[in-house]
Amino acid sequence: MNSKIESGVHLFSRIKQKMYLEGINPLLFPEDSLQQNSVIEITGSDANEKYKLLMDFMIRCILPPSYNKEFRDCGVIFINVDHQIQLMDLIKIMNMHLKKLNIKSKSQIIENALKNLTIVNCFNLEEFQLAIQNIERIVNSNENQSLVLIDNISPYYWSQRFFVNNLSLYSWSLKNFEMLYDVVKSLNIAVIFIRNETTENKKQLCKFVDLRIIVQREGEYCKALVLNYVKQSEICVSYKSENILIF
Amino acid sequence: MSRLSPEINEIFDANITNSLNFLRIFTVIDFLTAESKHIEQHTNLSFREILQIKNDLIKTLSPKPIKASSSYKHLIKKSAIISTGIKCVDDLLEGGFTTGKIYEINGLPASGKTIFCLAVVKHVITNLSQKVYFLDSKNNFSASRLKEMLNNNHHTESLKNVLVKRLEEKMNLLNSLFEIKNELENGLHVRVIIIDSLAILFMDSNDSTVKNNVLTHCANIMHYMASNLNVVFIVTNLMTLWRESNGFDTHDIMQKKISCGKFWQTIPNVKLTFEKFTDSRVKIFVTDSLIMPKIVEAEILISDEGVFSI
Repeated sequence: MNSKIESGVHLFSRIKQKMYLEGINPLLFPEDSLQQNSVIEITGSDANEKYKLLMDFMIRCILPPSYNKEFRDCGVIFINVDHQIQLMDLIKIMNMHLKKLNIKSKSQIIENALKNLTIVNCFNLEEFQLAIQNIERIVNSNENQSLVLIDNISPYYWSQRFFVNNLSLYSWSLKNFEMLYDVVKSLNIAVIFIRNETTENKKQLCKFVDLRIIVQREGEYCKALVLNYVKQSEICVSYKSENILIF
Repeated sequence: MSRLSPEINEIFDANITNSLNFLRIFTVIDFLTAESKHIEQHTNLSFREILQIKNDLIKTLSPKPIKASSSYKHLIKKSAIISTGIKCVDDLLEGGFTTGKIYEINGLPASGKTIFCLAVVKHVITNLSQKVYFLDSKNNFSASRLKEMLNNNHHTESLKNVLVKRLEEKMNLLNSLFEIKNELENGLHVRVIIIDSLAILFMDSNDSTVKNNVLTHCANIMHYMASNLNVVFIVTNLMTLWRESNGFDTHDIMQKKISCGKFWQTIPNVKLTFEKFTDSRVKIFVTDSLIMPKIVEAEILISDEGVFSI
């Protein structure tokens, strides 16, 4: 949508740019299951666990790899609609990660990591849809952007349902996803979003979703079932879910 | 939803708007998501013009992306932790209520939710010398009760710092929130907004679509005020007991249910549950929070003089 003229060389270098997200979480994404333009959805019945996993991806992306090889030091765009993931909480979690790595001077690392994070706060449906349309401009403004995170693909469902009788949460998610995919498909950027559902099923939201992570809490542990629709495979990963996730 | 009009972009005059409406393009989002070629074929706009308008609309209307680093600097300056004045509750909340968040206080009837809110009001207006908004749906906000708790005539002057709005029904809540937002944007300094109680406003709603639609709008404005105007919301909500028969088993199981439905449960950032276990002693539990605090329960003593830490 955003008209931009670029040379073939520029286009080639943009598309062939280095694999920013490679190795971000080898347990959830072994070998080459995560591509630079992968589309991943997180589902599951426990809302907090879905947010925590999203936040974990965010942190792994923005922190520098010099302290942990699973940190990536790359740009993240976070579309914040549920307002459950808060900046101060994110900083607390980053502090916990760095403390676990016995790093003493944490504040400078965190300040630098925050430079990698672009937040778009949305407070109504129109803002959310405009934020999706604006992703291309944000990506084009910074070469380092490599991941788009959305904490809810079906926000403001009830205000839409008020006008559209019998609108299901599934079809509302699909409608928003199609709008999102239309924008991101040519941007060579990975997308991770949370999808809420009324009943759990393994149905693929859309053929353009490459991976689905179904999160389930079991006591102090969580089970993540990763369905890879591209490779037609699935793996199950268990991790400890405290305030930080321990894989 | 913003409808296409000259106020949005001067290109949308009556002629163009009519042509677009004929294509079932009524809003900005309809225009942005419509195929540009389709618009070109049915209006006198050129492809280049359409792309330019789309760019302009996105640039001017979409929410501004913020770098987390600058947002952090802003938060350090503007955010605050509001102490409750009750030591064990402050310990539980790691200092107090944090601005930017919505807290839900739920519990069975008479578990001490309202008196706790009044104790917070007392602390904020006296010790912190700040104003508090109290949205009262139970119509039982009692200045004399608060005065009794103040227990000191010197402090009665502080009662002026309590701004009370009575709520008769759910639309009152929405309207009041908009009014308060405007007041805050026009310079009124309030950090704490208490809604006591949410459940009463939504009890008459059998239609979950209507109820959740109003709750969505309320949540939107509450999140906006919490984030952008550095406010903390404390919302009381009712817990009820439901008898659930277990097949042929003679023992009924009592299920606790929090009012206002499942959708509302996705809105608060932190949930505190109040459980009364003697006439004057109440246990408070952090039952839901993205980051769980180190301590997850506290015990308070409720008396005529107020609420105290044990």
